[in-house]
This record gives sequence, C-alpha cells and structure tokens, in this order.
Amino acid sequence: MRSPLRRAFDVAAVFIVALYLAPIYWVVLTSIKPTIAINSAKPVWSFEPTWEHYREAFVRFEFDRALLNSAIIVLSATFITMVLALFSSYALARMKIKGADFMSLTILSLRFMPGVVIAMPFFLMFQRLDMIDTHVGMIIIYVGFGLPFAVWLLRGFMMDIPRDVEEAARLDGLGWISIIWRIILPMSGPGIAVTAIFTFVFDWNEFLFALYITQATAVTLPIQISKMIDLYNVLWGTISGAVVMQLVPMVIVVFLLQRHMIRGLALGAVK
Amino acid sequence: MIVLEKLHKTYGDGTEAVKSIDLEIKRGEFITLLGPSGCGKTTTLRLIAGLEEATGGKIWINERDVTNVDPGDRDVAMVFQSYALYPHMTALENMTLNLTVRGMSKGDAAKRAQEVAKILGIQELLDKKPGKLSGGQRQRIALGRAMVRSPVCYLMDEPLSNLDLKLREQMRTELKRLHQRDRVTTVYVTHDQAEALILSDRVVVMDKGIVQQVADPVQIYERPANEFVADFIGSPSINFMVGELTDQGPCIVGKPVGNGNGVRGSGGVTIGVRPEDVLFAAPGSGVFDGRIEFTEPYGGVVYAFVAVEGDRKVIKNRDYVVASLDLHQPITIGASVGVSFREQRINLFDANTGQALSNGR
Repeated sequence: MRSPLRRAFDVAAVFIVALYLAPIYWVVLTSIKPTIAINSAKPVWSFEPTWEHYREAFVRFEFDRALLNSAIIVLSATFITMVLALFSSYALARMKIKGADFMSLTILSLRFMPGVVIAMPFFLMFQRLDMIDTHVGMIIIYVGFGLPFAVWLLRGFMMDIPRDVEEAARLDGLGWISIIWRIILPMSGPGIAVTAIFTFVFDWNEFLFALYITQATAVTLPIQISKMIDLYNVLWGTISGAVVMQLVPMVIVVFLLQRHMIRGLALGAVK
Repeated sequence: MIVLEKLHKTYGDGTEAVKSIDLEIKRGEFITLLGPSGCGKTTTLRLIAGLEEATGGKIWINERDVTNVDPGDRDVAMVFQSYALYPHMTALENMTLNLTVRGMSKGDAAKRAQEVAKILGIQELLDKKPGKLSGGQRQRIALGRAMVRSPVCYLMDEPLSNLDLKLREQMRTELKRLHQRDRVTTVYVTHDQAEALILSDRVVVMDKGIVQQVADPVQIYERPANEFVADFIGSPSINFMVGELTDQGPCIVGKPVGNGNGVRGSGGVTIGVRPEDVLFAAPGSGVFDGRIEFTEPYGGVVYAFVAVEGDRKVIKNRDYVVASLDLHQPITIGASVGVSFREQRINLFDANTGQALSNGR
C-alpha cells in the first residue's frame, strides 16, 4: 500500500508531465488540422486530418533545404565540439596545468556573455572573411559558442574517472593519445552523451546567430520557421508542421543517447 | 636489481614526501615499505613506477638509469589498491592490453593470459567485465594483469587492503606462494605490519619520508633501530620504560634489569620490552612491583595490564606495563606481582635521540 504522500507525489508528477507535454500535443494536433479548424474561434476537436501544412512547408518554404542545412551545420558543429572538448577537458582535468580551475571557469564565463554581444562582431568579421551565409561560418560560430560549456561539463565527468586507471594504462605502455582513445573515451561515455545532447539541442534550436549570419544558402530550421510569420499572416498550420519536423530529430537523438544520459546525470549527481 | 640513490621527492606545494632515500633491492627479493600514512612509502613506490617524477636522486632498474624513463618503458608492473581495472574491458582484455600494446598478437596474448589465469584459478572469469566480479576476483585479475607481463618487478600498493579479513589472509598466502614459486622482485607497500612481517624478505620501515630501518622481519621485530620502529611494529606495542645506564648495565629506579647486551655507560636510556618478554614473579622479586589492573583475552594469549606500584612514572608510553601471557596462565585481577623482563630481549634506546644503543656508548 502506497502512502498518501507518495500518491500525491505521483499525481503531481503526472500533472507536471502533462503540463510539459500539452504544448507538444497541441502543436502536433495543429499541424494536421485544416486551416479553417485552426482559425476557428472555438477549439475544434473533431476534424479531417490533413498533411497540407507539411506539404506547404516543403513546397513554399523549401523546408528540405533548411532541414539539410541544419543537419550539416549542427551535426558537424556537435562532432567538432565534442572532439575538441574531449581533449581540452582531459587536459584541464588531468594534466598538471597551473590555474586549471581558473582557466576552466574563465572559459565557461565566455558563455555568460549575451549572444548579441558576440553576434555583431562575428557578423563584421564574417563580412570581411566572406563567410556570411556559409555552412562553415555557422559551424565555426556554433563550435566557438558551444565549446566552453562542453569543456566545462566534460571536465567534471573526467575528473570523476579514477586516476589509478589511467596510471595503470601508463604502466601498460599506453601513450597519452591511446589513453584518451582506449581508456578515457569509453569510460566517459555518459559524460560524452550528456555533453553531446546539450550541444546538439542548443545548436539545433539556436536562432540569434543564424538570424545574423544566414540569408539564403545556409538558412537553418529556426530561421526558416520564423519566415512563416510575415507582416500579414501567421501560418499556424505550416509553423506547427515545421516545428513537429524540427522536433523529431531531437527526439531521436535524445532517445538514442538517453540510456547513457540518465546514467550520466546520476553520475554527476553522486559526486 | 633496483637501486634507489638519494631519491628525493618534493611536491609542488613544498611537501617533502621522500627525503633522500638510499635502498638496494636485490633480484628476486620481496621487500615491503612499511609505515604510517604519510610516511612516503606510496610516493617511493610511485617514484619507482615512474608515476611521480623524482625531484632529486636516481633510480636504477637492472643497471639502467630509469629516473626519467616513462612508466611504460620501465618494465615494471603495478598492482593498485583500487585494482584500477579497465571497467569497459573484459578480464581477458584487461590482462592482455599491455601485451598487445607491445606488439604481441592477440592469440599469443590470450594464450599467455590463460596460463596465468590457470595459476590464479580465474579461467572462468576471463570473459567477464570487472563490474560483474567480486572484490577478491578483481584482485586476482589485477594480479594476473601484472603477472602476464613477466616484468622485472612487481610494485604493489596496499593490494589487499580493500578485501575483508578472511580473503585478505587467503590472498596473503597466495602472494607468498606465488613469490616463492616465481621469485619475481616485489616491492610491496602496506601499513599493515602483519602483512609486512609475513610476506617480506626484508622490511623497510619509513617515517616522515625517511627510512628508519631496513632489515629482515625478525630483526625489525627483535632489534628495532630506534624507538619509532620499536613502537610501530608489534601489537600490543612495546613497553617503553624510563631507565638509566650504569656500569652494571641498564637499571630502572636503581634496580638492574639485566645485562642489556653489554651496553654500559651513564645517563638516561629508554628500555624497550615486548609484551611477551615481560615476566611475572612473586612481589618483591622483580625489577619493580605492580598490580594487575585488567586483562584482555585475545585468542591463545591474554594481555595483562599492570600498574606500577609506588606511582612512579616508570612507563614512558602509557599508564601500564603490558604483558602477553599464555591464556591458561592463572592471573588474578588486583593481584600484586613482581615484574621482570627476559634479559636477552631487552632493547635500549638513547633517551634523547631515540636511537638504539648497541655495545658501548
């Protein structure tokens, strides 16, 4: 028999989850509602589902290109961020570097800056470098902006790996690179999963930099979706369809890494 | 053969962990670094392994100066207190990694690991990951990882301290058996004197980064080099008594306690007597009289705590003289006894420096 308190907690949990899921449910629903049903003053619960909004997103708004752009930019940026973060966080966690703690915090503090502060100089620089509206430009920005947090987060996980294990590896004849590749990398799986998810999700949803830097060729999903709102119209159906499609890859990534992630978050917690 | 020559280690924060140690470890010898925590024993071991950089002195392994050689190239294998197994690899992979890294084929490495596994009785564990193994099993895998390499020497950092008592004794015997079988040079770090005395050919007692004494276990126990060693080794610890040296030998409150190994002279001495060398006689016939205050039975022996009569500050390191007696020796609590000592087993230390006194002074 569960205690009443426990029951109350369960009810509260269900309520909170429902609260979080409600907008997603609403967006999914809207994406398959006919426009008339969407625009009706009273909520319409029964309607003929339609794929019209999805079609419109692709045909009128070149959603496929935005999807591809986002995929290229975000996956590349996440991969590069993770590789760089792996090595630098290991160095900050383990090697005897004077002021490693200070350095780590300084690196993280770069992330405290408001995005706009960075976006303007980036825009000016990229203008000179001819990198406005390029995939490479976007990748550089996302790596640059995502790296501090990734390094900081991963460093915490690395510091939890027992030193003895690395020392055993050194005695087994492994060099630094081999130690990172064969020992640290497999052992920091949860940390890498968590960091990769955070980096991916942030870049995938990022709006501000993309707004400044992209125009046509490198436009990412969030920007493309924003174009569905114009001076005279808010295309709720199309926006909802696009949002659902933007959500799907994220859900897939999180599901794939979820097992590691939960272990990872717990690992950090019991430190 | 391993030679430590004026080996010194000062950490970045200024802590001097190891102060100019000289030590020669013979081929095939089992040598134990023993001491309280913070005495520098683990640092010394890590210096030999190459996991710490020496700030002074040299380390020679088989006539090769390895002071600045990478740990992986010193041909030493280490067994860690935490076992330090690779959690994402099977026991077999754990044991063979160092072989394959050095270019041995996977098949040959596995064969070698099988041979070692057979000696350690862990054949059926080889395909399991460390997470699925018990503490004792992990310990054996860690040991196996060191053994497959056939290194110049094993370095063991308190390898048994994470095991429960029963298992620890079992593994201790196992280590002894393996060493007698293979005679691989072993440097063993422990704070457990029983391990040190049982396993070692020689024991290095350390304190505050300095070697206090290097000797075989019997000598360490019976002829400690100074008061620190005498006090650290033995349980219950040795009785230290305030004495003075005369032309007749050492005395306590004017009463001679024996020949004192022929040490003669004058001035204050500390007289050290192990509990098992304390003898009871009729009151008045010993060196001094005491009253048995209480007893502690411990297995086959019983420890009797005797307060000195006349309230003299005779005992230096505690309030009682402790005697270790046969369990069946009749003792009455509260009884008065004459306390004397086994003459040949008395140790004398300089009252000021704490150093053992041998002949002459």
